[in-house]
Amino acid sequence: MDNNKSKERVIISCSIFKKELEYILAKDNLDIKIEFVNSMLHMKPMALENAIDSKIEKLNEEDITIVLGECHNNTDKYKNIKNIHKIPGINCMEIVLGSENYKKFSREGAFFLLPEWVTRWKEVFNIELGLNDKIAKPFMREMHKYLCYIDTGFYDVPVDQLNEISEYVGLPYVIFKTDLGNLENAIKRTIDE
Amino acid sequence: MEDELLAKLRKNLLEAILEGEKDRACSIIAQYAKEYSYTDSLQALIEPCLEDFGNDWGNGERVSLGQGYILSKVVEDTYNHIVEERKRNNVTHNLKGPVVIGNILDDCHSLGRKLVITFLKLDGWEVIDLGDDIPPKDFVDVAVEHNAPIIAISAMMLKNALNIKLVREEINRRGLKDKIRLAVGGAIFTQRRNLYKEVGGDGSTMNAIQVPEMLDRFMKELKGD
Repeated sequence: MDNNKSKERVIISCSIFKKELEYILAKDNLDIKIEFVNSMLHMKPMALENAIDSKIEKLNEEDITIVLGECHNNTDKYKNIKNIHKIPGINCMEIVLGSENYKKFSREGAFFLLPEWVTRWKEVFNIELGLNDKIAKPFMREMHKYLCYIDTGFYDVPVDQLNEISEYVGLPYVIFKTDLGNLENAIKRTIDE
Repeated sequence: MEDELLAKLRKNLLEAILEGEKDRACSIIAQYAKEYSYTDSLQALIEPCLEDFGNDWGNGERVSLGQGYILSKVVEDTYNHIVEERKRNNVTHNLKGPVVIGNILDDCHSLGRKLVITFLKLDGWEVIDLGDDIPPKDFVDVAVEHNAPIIAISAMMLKNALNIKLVREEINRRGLKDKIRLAVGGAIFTQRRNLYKEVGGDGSTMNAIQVPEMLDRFMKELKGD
């Protein structure tokens, strides 16, 4: 091992932020390698933890920034590892929207949809959430009031797919346009730590 | 019922739930209740099913939110049958509690809480349900107002679970430590078995059906039994 080699900085991120993260790094001219974990692992916390930890193990002692919510049960363990920093935020929505907006929408009964999930909505609802066509409507209507699509500006608003989802779960949808300021600031602050 | 047949019913029940077939699951319980009773089905079928389901949930590979919803609806259906059964048989319970229950500040995952409420009601508890996203102070205010000896709080994720510390602080600040017990639960507590102590809880269980027994224990402790 070459001890004189400066440590590389690496981001391990949920794939839900793929386009947004690549844009932020390019815009700010940050030459940082990104390793993605599949956003579908959100519904499999142990598998998600294993996927992240196995990437960390392979990266050895490089400076690692984790761009992820508290999507597995032990995300606080990274606080105790010197070369690893996780950005704050309970989930991807809070990271993108900021705490205040996230809580406001949550309290109103929003079910959030980020662009990447909309492109794979059948997989998300049918397989990962286990909401087949018999129970999707009663479940979603019992737990939520509306769908909130977060438009980060990197995808055309998928109106047809939003209409399909809305019909499938029996809830109306709203579109909330946001910039990437919260995500960008969270990453920069964490990298600067 | 023969052990082999009972094991088969349990297996079929879990399979029906995992396949999202609520009606099939309910008919399996009805089949058992025809020979015994819905009340007996709790221990014979529902409890083992919940344990298996909870273990699978913990492993995080086999079960989904939708399956959890089906399970809660099957329990709700069984609850309704038990209430009818008790009415028919003039079975009455002395009301216990009350227990003040809710999801902690910032937490809006109500599925587990609703399941716990069903089992508490079946066990004769008066339940004051505050709902989702409840500020810590409100739990204690309502408990004092209704002279409730138990506060039960649900949280799904770590960050929200840590807000429960504020309820513990409020209980202690008002000098109610020996008068109110704090039960905590939710997905994160089943995965991190010592977390309930970190947030100041007096206890936690692995699944919803075990909650009434824990609360009975708390009541005995409070009475000094």
